[in-house]
Amino acid sequence: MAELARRVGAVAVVREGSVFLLLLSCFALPVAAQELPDDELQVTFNSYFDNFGVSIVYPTMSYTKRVGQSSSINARYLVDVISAASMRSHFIVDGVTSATEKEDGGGDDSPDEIRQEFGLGMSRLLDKGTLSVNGIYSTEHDYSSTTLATTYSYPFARKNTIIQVGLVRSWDKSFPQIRDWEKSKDIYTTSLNVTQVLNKRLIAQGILSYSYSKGLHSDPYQVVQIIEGGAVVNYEPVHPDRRNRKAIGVRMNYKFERKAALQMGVRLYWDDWDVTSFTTSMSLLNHLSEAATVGLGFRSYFQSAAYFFKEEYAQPEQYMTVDSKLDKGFSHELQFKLTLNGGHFKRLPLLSNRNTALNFKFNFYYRQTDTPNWHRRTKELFAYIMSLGIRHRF
Amino acid sequence: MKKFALIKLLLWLLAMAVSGCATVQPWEKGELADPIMIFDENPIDAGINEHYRDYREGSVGGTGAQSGGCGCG
Repeated sequence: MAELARRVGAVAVVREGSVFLLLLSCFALPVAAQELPDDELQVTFNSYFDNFGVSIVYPTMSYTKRVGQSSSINARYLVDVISAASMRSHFIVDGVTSATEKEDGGGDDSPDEIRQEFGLGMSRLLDKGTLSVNGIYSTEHDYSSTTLATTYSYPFARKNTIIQVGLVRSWDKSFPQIRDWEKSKDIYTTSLNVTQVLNKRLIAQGILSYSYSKGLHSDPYQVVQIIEGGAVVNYEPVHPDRRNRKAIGVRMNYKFERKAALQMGVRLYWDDWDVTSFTTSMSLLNHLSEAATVGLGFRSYFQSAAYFFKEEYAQPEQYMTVDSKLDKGFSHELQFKLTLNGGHFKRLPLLSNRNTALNFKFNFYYRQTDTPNWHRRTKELFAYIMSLGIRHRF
Repeated sequence: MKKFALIKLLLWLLAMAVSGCATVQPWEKGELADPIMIFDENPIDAGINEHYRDYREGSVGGTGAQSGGCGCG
């Protein structure tokens, strides 16, 4: 049975990678709401590796340009690719999944999983505030997603208070080759952010978020195994088709000395699947000199299980899942960041320009769940995330 | 009950922070203009972090960065 589970699980590894990083954030919350983003070109090379055997590389490119005095447009392209080596080592096609063959690649059984994402957006000054609208389309061989996000930021009290309202609407379609159906998921998200300048060195931010989704919530590549009459029978996971999610967060950023800032945050989340979580985070950023800035961050996360999550199911139930992210558990994350500012490194061609910055980031992520993962049979996940990027402001 | 107590605590912290603030004049915001004082100064970077967490943890939202439409919920 373990071998069967391992083979079925191999498919899930591929899927997990394929949906990794489907959407980036659409906007930042600037200190001053009535400011447009700078003209810039950003190219970043990202990678992800974990002990579940998933390795992904995903370069991104974004371009932002002002149009006239009151508008700015941005475009973004992202592609993520699971490395062929990792897919070959983990992917085993079997009769249980009945994965189909595709000669041109990109199928569930082909080691060239690629996802592309296209983004287009606009920001415009309206009265004293800023309106931003972003559209994103993501496509891969078994999944597509369209997202429309809009925010409006407005400053008060001599720009010491900024209120931002956000609306995000997503339409997702899932059409896995190992299933004979196509299903959709619709997501509605609203958020309210209040940013307050407290004094010359301290900024606080409160965040309220509500999200409602309906449709397919389960991962079609996961399998719930139930022993019936001495034989293992595979079932599709079944999650409730609706979910209401709420979150509240508070974070503060304090500038101490002249070169360092300390950011601290707490966040509480709860939903109608009985998942609750509590997150704390802290990061320290320090200008070593005009040429270099380093950052060190730590994040801790604690979560309860969804009410229908079980380690084993004795018989088919209305809702069944093996998804580790619905299990009780915790995670810790350590981050290191380094920014080198151009103009201070005459011998380095990319950094000889003072408008260019080089960003490097390394994250170590550790997660532990109460129940062993359904296909890896381990409670622990280790992940290493790295990125190296160039940011050039015009 | 524990959940609501935490919510109250967070709201209280925010209220205390906001009510205790003094108006900072534009010419006094030099330290605040430093890029390290901007929340999510690089939105692409923030989005990457948010997304891989979305897929490995059961909660989303409340972080400032936006995410969604990823099939990971």
